[in-house]
Amino acid sequence: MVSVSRQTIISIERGDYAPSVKLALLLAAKLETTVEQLFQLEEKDHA
Amino acid sequence: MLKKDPIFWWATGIFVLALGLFAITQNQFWLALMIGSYLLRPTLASLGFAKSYVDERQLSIHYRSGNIGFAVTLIVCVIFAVKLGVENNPDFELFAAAIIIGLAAKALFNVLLIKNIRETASKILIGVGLLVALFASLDAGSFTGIIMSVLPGLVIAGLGLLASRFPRVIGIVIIVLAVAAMIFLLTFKTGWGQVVTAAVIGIPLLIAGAGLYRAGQRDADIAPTVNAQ
Repeated sequence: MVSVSRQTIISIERGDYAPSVKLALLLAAKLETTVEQLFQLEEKDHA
Repeated sequence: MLKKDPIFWWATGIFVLALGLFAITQNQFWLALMIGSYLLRPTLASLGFAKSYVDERQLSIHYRSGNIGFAVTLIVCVIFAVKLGVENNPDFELFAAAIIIGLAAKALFNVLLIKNIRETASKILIGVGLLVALFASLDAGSFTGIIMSVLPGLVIAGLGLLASRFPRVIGIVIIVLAVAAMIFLLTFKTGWGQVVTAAVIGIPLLIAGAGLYRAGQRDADIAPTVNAQ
């Protein structure tokens, strides 16, 4: 679907891996949503 | 689970071929090829080939494990070099050569991957020039000898500072210097030390010179178009 492995998707869902901008945009397009709906910054990321 | 794509089958073929050749010839080189078949996928992806067969997370893992593997290899080489050096075994030079070439390659690619050739070439020339001057000064005896020894290195470093202003001319000068230095080093006295020195000095200079020439050539091609406008 977005040319990545199942393990990569699982890692993204678990928060173990942050996708590139390109992959994030591809995922959002395929799921017919926006990048901001799929991914949010956590408190620690604002430091 | 193993991904059975064309790279998997090529790597498997290389592994089986190497195993067969090792069994026949008992030559250790084929063992290295067997190990190398495992690195086929990340190597092709790093070089920009077969990117569709490696996803970004796998590539990131390969880069990080590659860095760790490189550090481990260096540490092992240092241990072996020290051990052989303490035993006064001249083979320690081989491990010293592996350490120097590995570090030089990493430093060179750290700079090359910036992809701004003027800045990259300038850094390479300054770095190599200062390195040559430093090592030459350690070898020289008298004060006059030190001045004469460091001069070539300082000239290269100086050319690095001017590289972005006169890329084509300096590119040609550096290429000629690099070729002359490599010929001199390899014909003057042969040994692992000379080969390593020629590689560590000559190859970065050639890359920097060629890059500068290309950058200068590109500027020359663009200039008439800009002037016409």
